Order: sequence, then structure tokens, then C-alpha cells
Amino acid sequence: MNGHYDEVALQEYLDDPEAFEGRAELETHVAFCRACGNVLDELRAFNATLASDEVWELAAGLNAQEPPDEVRALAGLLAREEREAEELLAPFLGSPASFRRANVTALPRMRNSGVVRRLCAESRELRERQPMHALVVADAAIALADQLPHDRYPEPLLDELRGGAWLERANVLRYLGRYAEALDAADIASRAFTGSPVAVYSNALVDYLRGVIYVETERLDEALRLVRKSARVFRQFGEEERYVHARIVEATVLFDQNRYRESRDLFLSLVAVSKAAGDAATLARLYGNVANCQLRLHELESAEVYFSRALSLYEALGLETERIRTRWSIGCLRIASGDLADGLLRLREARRELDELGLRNDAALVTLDLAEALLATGESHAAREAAELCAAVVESFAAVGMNGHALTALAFLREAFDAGRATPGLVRHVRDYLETYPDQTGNPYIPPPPL
Amino acid sequence: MGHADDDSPAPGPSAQALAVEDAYRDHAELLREIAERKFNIPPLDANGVVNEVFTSFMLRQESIRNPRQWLIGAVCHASRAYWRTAARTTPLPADVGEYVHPDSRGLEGRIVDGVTMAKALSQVGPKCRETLRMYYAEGYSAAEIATRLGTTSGYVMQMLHTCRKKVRKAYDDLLKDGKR
Repeated sequence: MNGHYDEVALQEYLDDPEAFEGRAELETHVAFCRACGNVLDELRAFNATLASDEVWELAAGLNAQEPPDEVRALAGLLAREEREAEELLAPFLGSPASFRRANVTALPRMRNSGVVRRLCAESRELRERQPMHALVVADAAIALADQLPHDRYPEPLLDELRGGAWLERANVLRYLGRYAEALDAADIASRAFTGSPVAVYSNALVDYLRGVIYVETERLDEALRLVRKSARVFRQFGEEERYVHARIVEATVLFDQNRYRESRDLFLSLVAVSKAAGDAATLARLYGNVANCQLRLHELESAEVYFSRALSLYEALGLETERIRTRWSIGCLRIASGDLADGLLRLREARRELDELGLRNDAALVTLDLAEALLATGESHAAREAAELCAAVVESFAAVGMNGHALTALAFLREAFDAGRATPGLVRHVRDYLETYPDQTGNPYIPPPPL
Repeated sequence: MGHADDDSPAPGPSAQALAVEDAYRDHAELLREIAERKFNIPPLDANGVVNEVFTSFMLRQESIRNPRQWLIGAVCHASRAYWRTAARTTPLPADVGEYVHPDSRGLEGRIVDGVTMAKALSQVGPKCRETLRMYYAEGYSAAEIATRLGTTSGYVMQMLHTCRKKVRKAYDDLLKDGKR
């Protein structure tokens, strides 16, 4: 026998093995051929299901179950209220001022599920662009959810709406870096969801958010436990995208704990899921993260391959910031590989582009990467350039009124340059500190002990 | 505003409401089977559990990627919650340990397969269904079926082949549709 048996032949064999011509040859083949063995197993399972009495009993009595009146009525009510909410809120959602003036929480006609859901959706859209306004909108959703008439909706639905509004507030507060308040709001959301028949799922959404907050506040062990738990639930509910995101956070925690090998393997294991889901943006992020792990593991050649894949996807998707960040990473990689000239060129380019986009913190970080590389050459003109770059960062931070912990750290570095004490290690120390977004987390800068 | 006047015809259900109704028709039977057979919930209460799950589904349907899998996950958790609540309000029966089927993971898969296969069978023509029923459920050979149908066993084998293909396609489509 050359090649493989087709399905027809394998089914013929299953129908009547005794009568199958060439039975011995087929049985020998499938014992060694995994492809044919798998097809045969599938056919066997399919035939076994078809042969089950239960299936035929079910098929005999199977009528599509019509939704009962209460389900139909509730679905109609929710859809109608959502449509009406669009019209009701349209005049007020345009600007923060008109929304505040409208005082929607005092208007009885706003007390319905559609308005609560519409406000949550609006807040979700505003989170990144106008987080303060998003908070006002989320709070309006909470106030209205508390006023919903109990005789119009089933109790579990009211719990879901209340919980959803509090979860939205928690999300906005996280964007604002107000982590303690965000965790309080998440606790209230979690309590509200207790009455829901899918409390496990709703609470997985809360746990995921808590996990992200714990990552940002460096409570890494708690973060790991929560995101793992939420990933399990998302998988049970077939929510592959959420599952991948939860596991990305898990891999990020492993990276932050310097467990680069585990982190890399986890990122890699998610590639196939993202490919199957056709989620190019997540795939690009995974490639970039794999490469970052490989960079730390000094697997420089593979890192370059993965950075390049990420870069191609970001370019195709038009994700400008991520494209620049990836080129910046490639610059660092080139420096680590010993190609200083090309690495410096790429870092300078990334710095200019980040500056143009107004991404001050990232521009500062890439500047410090440049300064570290320049200092490491040991050449005096390079050290002078590093000192100038560092001074420019301090001035740019001060110019926009930043006076928090980040500026303190940069000023310390500038003084070190002025006094001729700056070393690549010190630059790296300040850079790693800035990467933790100290002005959001409130962590003060502690200089390294003198050598 | 979208309110209809009292004497104007009521607007038809929106696409969103219709999508919930379609999902109910597609999946409610399967969910009820899981609640009843995997979690041993009495039939009347199983309907209540399924309807509650659909209430939660309505609020989230737009963000759910795989309705079938989401609903299966939801009915499993809602069924467990049902027994937790029952434990708080009435004493549990002595054999409650057996209420969640010991082979629950495998059983869930078999219920899903069984209901999907039954639906697939209901989507092929009566002649096909009857031929497959005689062969698989009644255990007749192709020759016996040929005698009953007044045809040749070769023709029956050909029919079985065609009908199996149709059922297989309907089965695969049902699984795919669940992910819409």
C-alpha cells in the first residue's frame, strides 16, 4: 500500500471487516499510519454516536424549543430600551459639559436597562481618551443601576447591571492609576455579581482586572493566582480571546519575576490560539513578547526573527506606536549583538518618532538606552553625548510641569553625569525605575548603594 | 423617540431580540439535557435554570464569540449554583453526591455530541434518516434493508455512504454555527 486509505475505504472496512478485500493490509497500515489511524478513530466515534439509542430517541422527539414568553418578552424589552437609550442620550454624550449639565441621573426616563448599558459602553470607549469624563459617565451608570425598578426586571439581571456598572468604574479608575479605589469598586462589582447565574464568569472578569492592577502595583504572586483563575473560566466559557489576554498577563508576570524561560514558553503556546482566532494584533504582541524573553535569555538570533515578525504585523495593521517600540527593541538587540552603529541609529530614530508622538516616558526610556550604550563605549565624546541626552530629558520633563518621582530619579542621574560618576549600570538602574511608571504607582526613587 | 402610539401597529422584534430567540431555539434543548442529565436537576427546574442562563446571555450576546460554548459553560455553573441554593433552602437528599454525574466531564461531551447528532439527523431527508435508523439503531444489514426497501444491497451501501456524508456535514455545520 502506497499513500493513505480514503474515508470511503475506511468506512467500508468498518461496515464489514470480514468482507473487506485487503483487510490484513489495511490493519497493518493503520497500525503504523497515524493519519489513517486518526481518520478510522473519528469514523468509529461517529458511527458509535449514530448507533446510540439515545440519539435516535432524541431525534424522534426533537422539536426546536421555542423561547417561552418571559424570555421573548425580556429580550424584546432589553432590545427596545437599548434602541431608545441611543436617542435619549444622543444630545448629552457629545461633550463632558453637556453631559454634566443634563444631570441624567435625576431624570426618571433614564431609569432603564438600556441607558445603564449605553453609559457603560460609552465609558468603555472614553477610558483611554478622556478617563476623567469616562469616570463621570460610569458613575452615572452606577447611580441609574441603583434606581432601576425591581418590578420590571428579574433580580439576577439587576445584579448583572449593577455589577457591570461597578466593574466599569473599576476599569476607569485603573486607567487613572487610582488603584486602591479601583480595587474597592471591583469588590463591589464582585458582590453584586453574586446573585447572577453566571457569577463565575462575571467574577472572572473582575479577577482579570484585579490581576492587571496587581501587576501594575507589583503584587505579582496575587496577580498570577487571579489571572490563572480567570483564564480557566474564560476557557470553560469558550472565550478564547479573553483566555489569551489573561494568559498574556500571566506570562508578563513571569517575565517580571525574571522567569524568562517559562514566560517565553507560555507566550509561544498562545501563538497557535491567536492564529486560529485570526487576531493579528494579539499575535504581533505575542511575537514581540517572545522576542523580549529571548533577548533576556541571550537567544539573540531567534529574538531578531520574532521582533521582525512582530514588526511586519504592526506595519500591516498600522499600529504606529507599537511599530516604533518594536524598532526600538530591534535597536537594543543590535547593540546587544555588538552592532553598535546600527543599534544607535535605530534608537535615535525611535527617540525622534516617540518625541513626535508626544510619548514622553517612552522617549525618556529610549534616551536612557542610548545613553547607556554610549557610556559603555568608554569614549569621551560618547560620554559627553550621553550627558547631553540625559540633561535634555530632565529639561523636557520639567518643561511640561512633571515634578514627581521620575524627575527626581532623572535629576539624580544628571548630577551623576555632572560629577563624572555616571556609569552604564547607573543609567540602567534609573531606566528600570522609570519603566515602572513611578508617578502613577507612587514608588519613590532609591539610588543604588555606592560601590 | 421609539414609542409607538397606542393605535399604531406594534414594531416587530429587533434583530437583537430575534438573535436571542434564535439562540434559544438552537441551544435550549442541549442546555436542558445538560442540566437534567449531567446535574440531575428536575425537568421543570431545569427549564428555569436554562431561562436564567439566557437572561445573562441577553446582556452579553454582542461580546460573546462562541455562544454555544458560552451557554454550555453557563448552564454548568448555573446548575451547580442551583444545587448550592437548594442546599440552603431544603435539606439535601442522602444521595446528593451522585447528583452531579461522576463522569461529568465525559458525560457533558457525550450529551453535546448526542444532541448535535440528533439535530443533524433531523436535518436530513426522511428516506436518509430511515435508512440510517435501520442500519445503526435496528442493526439490519445492508442486504436486509435492501429486501425491505425492494432494492439491491449495492444501492443501500451507496445510500448509506451518501446519507452519512449529509449527516456529517449537518453535524459539522451545527458545531460551526455555534461559534457564530
